[in-house]
Parts: sequence; structure tokens; C-alpha cells
Amino acid sequence: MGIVSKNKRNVKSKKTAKKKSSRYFEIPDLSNDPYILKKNEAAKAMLRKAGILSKD
Amino acid sequence: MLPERYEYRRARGYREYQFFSEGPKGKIRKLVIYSYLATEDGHAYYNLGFGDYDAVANELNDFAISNNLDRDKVLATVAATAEEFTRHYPGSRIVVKESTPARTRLYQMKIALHYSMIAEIFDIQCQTATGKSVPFRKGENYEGFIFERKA
Repeated sequence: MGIVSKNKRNVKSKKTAKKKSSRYFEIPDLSNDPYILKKNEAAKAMLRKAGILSKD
Repeated sequence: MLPERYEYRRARGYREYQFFSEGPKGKIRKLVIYSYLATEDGHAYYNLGFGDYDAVANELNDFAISNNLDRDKVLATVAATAEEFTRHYPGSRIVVKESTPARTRLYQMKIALHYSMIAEIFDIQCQTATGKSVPFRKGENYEGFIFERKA
């Protein structure tokens, strides 16, 4: 009886874990994405022009 | 009234978000990415990158014009991610520098339209063509925007 209860608890905890992970998505690796890199450079240039970032 | 928006999912870390635009052109996967740029005077600057995700090429494309007849709903969803992002990154500033003047004008128009709602949550600094940072004014043209969540 005690063993059955333990198994039930395990099943429940696995279900809960699955539900929690579905809140997230796996982001594709876009670290070298040309669009993002180009856009980041444009944003930095704008911040430099505004004097927020140093020019170097 | 809050504009209608899509449900979105986030990646761990609250810096990337995903949702699907749905319309006559089908279901289009959209990504919103906040990329760290630099820290100045205690403020971390993040660039807002947003566009259609092409899984085959594994790239983001913000030049794509989806024509999925849901532009306002898409922009409202992006705004919702900014709200969530800044909640988890207090003191951060979001830089919006669009890839085309037309896109910048579109954002200007949408900011003007929803200004009172946006201004309740964010301070908006606008970058002029001469490099000045000025508060948002309707009818003015800007090169980009910096959003910071109000304390």
C-alpha cells in the first residue's frame, strides 16, 4: 500500500514538472544572426550619437 | 481599453519571447529578443529585436512584411513583452532603433496613439537626427526611442 502511494506521488510530480516547463520555449541560437548583430550596432551608434555611450 | 494581443511564451531569463501571428497568410512565428548592449550610469541598455523567425535559415527577419492583417495585435504583443522584460530587469532601458524610416514612423504613430497608456508605465526618450534626447511629442520625427520603466 505504501509503495503504491509513493508511485502515485512520483507520477504526479512528473506531470507537474512537465506543465511548468511548457511555460517556456527553447530559443534558437541566434547569437550570430546578421539581422540582430546589425541592429545592435545601429542601436549602439544611436546611443553614441546621443552621448550615452562613449565613442570608443 | 487594452489593445488585443497574442499569448506569448518566453525563454528562461525573460529576454526572448515567442508568439504566432495568425491571419490570412497563415501562422507566422514571431520572436522578440532583448539583446544586451552596454551599461552606462547604472542602466543596462537592451536593444529590441523583433521579426519573423525563419526556421529553415535559422534567422530573424524584420524586413518581412507579413501582411497578416494583425499589425496592431502584433505590436500590442511586443509591448506586453517589454512590460514583462522591464519588470524582471529593473533599471534597464530598451533601445528601439528600427531598420527603416518607415518602420520608425509606424512606431511613432503607435506611440502617439497609445501615449497615455504607455506613459503610465514607461518614460520615453526620443533620439533626434542631431543626436539630442528629447521627450516624446506628437508629430515630431525621431531616429529611435529609449524606454525605461517608471519606478
